[in-house]
Amino acid sequence: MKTTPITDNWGAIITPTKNKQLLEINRNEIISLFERKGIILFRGFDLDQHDILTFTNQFTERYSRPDYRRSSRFEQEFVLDADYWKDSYRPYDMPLHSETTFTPVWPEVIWLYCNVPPAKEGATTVCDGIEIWDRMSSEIKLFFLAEPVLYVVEIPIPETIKGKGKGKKPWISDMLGVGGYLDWDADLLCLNVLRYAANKARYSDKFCFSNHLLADLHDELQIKEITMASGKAIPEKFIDEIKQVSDDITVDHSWQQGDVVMVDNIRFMHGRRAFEKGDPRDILTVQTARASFGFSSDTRPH
Amino acid sequence: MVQKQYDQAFMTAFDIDESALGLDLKYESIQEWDSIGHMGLIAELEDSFDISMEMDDIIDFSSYEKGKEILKKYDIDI
Repeated sequence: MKTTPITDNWGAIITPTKNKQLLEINRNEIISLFERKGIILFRGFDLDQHDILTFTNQFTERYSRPDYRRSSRFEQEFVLDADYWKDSYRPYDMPLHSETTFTPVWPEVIWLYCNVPPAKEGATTVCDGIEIWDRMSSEIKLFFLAEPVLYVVEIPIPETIKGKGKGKKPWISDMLGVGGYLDWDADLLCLNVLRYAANKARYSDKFCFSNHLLADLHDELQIKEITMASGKAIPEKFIDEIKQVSDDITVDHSWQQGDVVMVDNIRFMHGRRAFEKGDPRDILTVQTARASFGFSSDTRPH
Repeated sequence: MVQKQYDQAFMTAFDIDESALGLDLKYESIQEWDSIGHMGLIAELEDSFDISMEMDDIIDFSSYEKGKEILKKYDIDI
């Protein structure tokens, strides 16, 4: 296989030289590269969409339960449509965000697979949270280090337990900083999720800015309010500055059929450029809640 | 009868066999008993025994065995 960088600071593209079997690449080589580079694009390999989990299983201790806004594929509950709003088309860019930062489950790794590339536009955008942090002003850094962000969210009750109870019950999360209640009658999990806007990267001691603060809340109906933990509002000028900083360093990934992208969701934010209505763009996603390697893994074979 | 009801609540909530029940069955000892599974289990027990559990009891319900102690408060002897 051949490895080339995506930028000077992050990312790697792995392409085959002779053997096109993605499942035969050495697992530890992939992990080593991923930890340092944060994003790996596997391009030119033979991997059928039905075999995605066979590949991702090598790196996954536990998958995220499905986001019920998304459809799952081939009766595999962890292989999902990346674009959950397909039925109500929105012809604009999806801003940068880290996947489900605002929920009890914050995947360590997200996987994207291109089943059908967009005919026109529709690139996926990626931005390194370490680079954003490095370029942010000291004023904003101190603001976000002083306290966590509070996401007030209402999430539909997972299908697995929907309709089973009555009234309101306390929600006990296995993720620190998440509290609230389960409203069985309204089919909603009403949660306060406390999470810092910046976190330490997997491999280095650097902070990376990755969160849901740049997202368009019209697209993210589960989020009812975002403030700092103390209730303080996040100044618009800070968000504007961060958008400016991130715009300057965002990289567009133009899809090719069969592309597999492995993203460090703690470090990187991703988004999507607008695409035209009726475009055949078909991207699948898998979310690894807990990787089977690295700092938070029980299995840690690496 | 009560024991069967109790066991059935676990088997339904977690989709597990009878063989998985016992001393070793605790919160997070199986993948199914996570925070979501926990609330599903509480709902199954409340429905099965027609009770409404208090917040502290929901929090304390940390294992198959501990659950038996907690349900005594609701006059359910297992």
